[in-house]
Amino acid sequence: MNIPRQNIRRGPALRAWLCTALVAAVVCWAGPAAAVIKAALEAPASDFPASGVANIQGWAFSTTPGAKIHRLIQVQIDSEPPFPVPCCSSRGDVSDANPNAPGNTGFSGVYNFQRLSEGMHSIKVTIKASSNKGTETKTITSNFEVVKVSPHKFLKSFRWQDTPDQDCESINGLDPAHGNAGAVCNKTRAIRDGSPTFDCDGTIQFAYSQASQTFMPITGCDPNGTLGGGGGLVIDLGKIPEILECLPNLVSNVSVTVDKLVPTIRFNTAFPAKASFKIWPKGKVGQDLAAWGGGSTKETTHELKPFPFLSVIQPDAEYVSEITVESNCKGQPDLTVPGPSFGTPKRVVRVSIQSAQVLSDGDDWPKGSGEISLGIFFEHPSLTPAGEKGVFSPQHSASDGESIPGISVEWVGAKKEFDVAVVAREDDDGCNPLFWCGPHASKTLSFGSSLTLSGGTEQATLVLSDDNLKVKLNVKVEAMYE
Amino acid sequence: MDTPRRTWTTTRKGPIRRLAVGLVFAAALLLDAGGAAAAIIANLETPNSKELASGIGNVQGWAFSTVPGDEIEPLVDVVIDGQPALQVPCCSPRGDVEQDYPKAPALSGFAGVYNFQSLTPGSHTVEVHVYSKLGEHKVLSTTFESESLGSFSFNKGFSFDDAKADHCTPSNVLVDGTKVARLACTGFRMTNAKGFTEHCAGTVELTWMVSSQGFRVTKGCDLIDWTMPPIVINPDFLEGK
Repeated sequence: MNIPRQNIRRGPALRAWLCTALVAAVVCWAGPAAAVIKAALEAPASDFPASGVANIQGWAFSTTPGAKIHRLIQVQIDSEPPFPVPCCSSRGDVSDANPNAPGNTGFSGVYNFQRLSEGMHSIKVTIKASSNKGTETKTITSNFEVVKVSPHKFLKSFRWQDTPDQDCESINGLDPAHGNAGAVCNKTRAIRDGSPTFDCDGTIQFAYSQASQTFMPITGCDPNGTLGGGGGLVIDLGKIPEILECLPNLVSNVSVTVDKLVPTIRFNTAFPAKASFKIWPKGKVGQDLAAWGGGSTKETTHELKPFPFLSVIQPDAEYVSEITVESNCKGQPDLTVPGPSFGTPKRVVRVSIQSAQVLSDGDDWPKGSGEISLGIFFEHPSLTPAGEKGVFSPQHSASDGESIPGISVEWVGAKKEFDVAVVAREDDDGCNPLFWCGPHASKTLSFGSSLTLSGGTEQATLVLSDDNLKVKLNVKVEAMYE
Repeated sequence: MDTPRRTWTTTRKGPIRRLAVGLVFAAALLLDAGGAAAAIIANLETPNSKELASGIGNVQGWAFSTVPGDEIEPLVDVVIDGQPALQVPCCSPRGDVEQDYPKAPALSGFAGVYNFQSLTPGSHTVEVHVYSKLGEHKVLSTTFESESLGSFSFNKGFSFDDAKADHCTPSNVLVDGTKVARLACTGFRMTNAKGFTEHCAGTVELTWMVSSQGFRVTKGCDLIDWTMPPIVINPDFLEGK
C-alpha cells in the first residue's frame, strides 16, 4: 500500500520537478537565442545624408556570459563585396546606458561615401559573437542617402568660385529630421587633381550634423552643376590614368570573353573607368599578374584587351582569373567578378622560310655550282647548349639570283621563351680542292635570338651574309596556342 | 672498464655541453631580443601635428610585428594628455600598408571614434601604446591641436539667432598652398544633450579639409556669452494649448 501511495505522492512532485527542470532548460536553452547580441548602427544614419569621408560606426555587445564579439564586423553596402571594420573600442556612453555592456563595444571604419552614387543605398552589418556555447549572429540592415557636392570621388579642393555673387544663406531648421540650422550656398567649385572641375552654379545645402559635430552637405548641387567648368576642360594627358581612376562611376554588365587566349573585358560605365584583369595559378591566390586598360567616354560599353594571357602563363598549368572595374582613388573596387578558369593548351610555334633567294652563291667560280642549304633551328648550339632541334631543307644547287623552295618547321610544347636560328650554309662537299673554294659560309641569324612568344605572327625579310655568300629570306614566325 | 670511463667522460662533458647549450640559448635570446627592438612597425595617422582635430573624428593608424609568429594585441591603448582616453581595436585590412611593407600582414589597421570636442581647445599630446602577443611594446606619440565649436563637448542642437540669412559668410583661404572653402558664421546657439544652451556672439570658422572631404571647425567661437537673445515663446504654449 505504501508503495502506491509513495508513487502517488511522488508523482506530482516528480512531475513538477521535471516540469520545472524542463521549463528551466527550455528557458535557459532559449535564453541565449533571444537577444544575445545588442547592437546599433549609428552612422550612416537613415535620417541624415552621408557624405565625404566619414565613419561607418556603431556598437555591439553580447549579453551571453563569456561571449565575445568577433574582432572584425562585416559591412556590406548595396551588393558590393563585404568589408570588415574592427570592433571593439571604448564606448563609455554605451556602457552607461546598458548596465550589462562591457567597456569596449564600439566599431568604426572610415569610408569614402563619395565613391557611391548619389541617392539611396543599403547597408548590412553582420556581427558575430562566440562563446563556448556557440556562435551568435546579428544582422542590422538600414538604408541611407548619399549626397555629393560633386561627381568626383575624392577632391583635392572644395571652394567657392570667387565670383561677386557667391553667397551662403543661413537658415534655421534646414535639417528637418533634427531641426538643426544650416546654410544654403551657391557658386561652389570642386576640384579633383588633374581632372575637370565641377562648378555648381545652383545651390548646395549644408546642415549641422550631430554625428560629425560640423556642417555636412544634405543636398547635392541643385540644379546639377557643370563638369569641366572653371576655365574649360583641361586634361593633362600624363594624368589620364588619374582621371580615369577618380571620376565617379556606375559599373554594370561586366563580362569577359576569351578568343585565342586574348581576353576582352566589356563593361558599362557612366564615366570612364579602369579594369584590371588578374590571373593566377590555381590554388596560388596572391601570385597574380595584373594589367590595366582604360574606359573612354560616358555611358558607353568599354571593350578592353589588357593583355594576352599567353604573355604571362606557363604551359601545363591551370589558371583562375578575376576582373575588377574601379574608378575611385582609394582602391575600393566598384565591382569584382570572377573571370574564366582555364588551363594552358598546347603551344605551337611555326617558323617558316617562305622564300629564299640566293644573291651570291659563295663560289667565285665556277658560277652556279654552289650548294646552299637552309635550316631552321630551335635551340641551336650557337644559342643554347641544348643542341640542334630543327631541320635543314634538302640541299639545293642554287646560284646567284636563283630561289630555294621554302621550308617550314613546327615546334610543339615549347617553352615560353625559345631560341630560334635561321641558318644558310654552303656545303663543302661539292668543292673542288683544285679550285678555290669560298669560305664555309654558314651564318646564324638571330631572329630575336631569344624570342618571347606573344602570340600572333612576326614576319621579316632577312639577309644572311658572310663574305661572298648572301641569301635573302622571307621568314615568318607564328606562335599560337592550339 | 669501459663503462666508468664513459661515465667519467659523460660527467666531464655534461657541464661543457650544458654551458654550450646555455651560450647558444643566451645568444639566441640576445639575437631575438635584438630583433625584437624593431619588431613592431607602426604609424599614427590621426590625430597628427599637421591638421587640426575637431568634432567627432578618429584615432587611426596601423601596426604590425616583424617577428614571425607574433601579432599585435587586439586592443591598442590611447592616452591623451597623460590620461587613458580609449582603447581602439586592431587590426583591420590595410592594403596600402601591405603594399608598402612586404612583411606586413593583411590586417594592420587600428581605428576608433573619438570626440575631439571633449578636449579643451589648444595643444594636446597623444600616445598610442601598441602591444604584441610576445610582449613587445611600441609607443607612438605626437602633439596635435584641437578646436571646438563652443564649450559643450557634444552639441545636439544648432540654430541661428534669428531668421536673417546673413549669419554665414563664404570665403576662400589657402591651406597648404591650396585654395579651399571657408564659412565664417556668427550669432547662433548650441544646445547640449542635457538641454543646456550657450550662445556664440562671436565667430566660428569652418574650413573644408581634404581628410574628411568636408567642413571642420578650425576656429571655435571666440565670444561665448551667456546673455541669451530673447527667445520667442510660442503663445500657444503660454496659453496651455
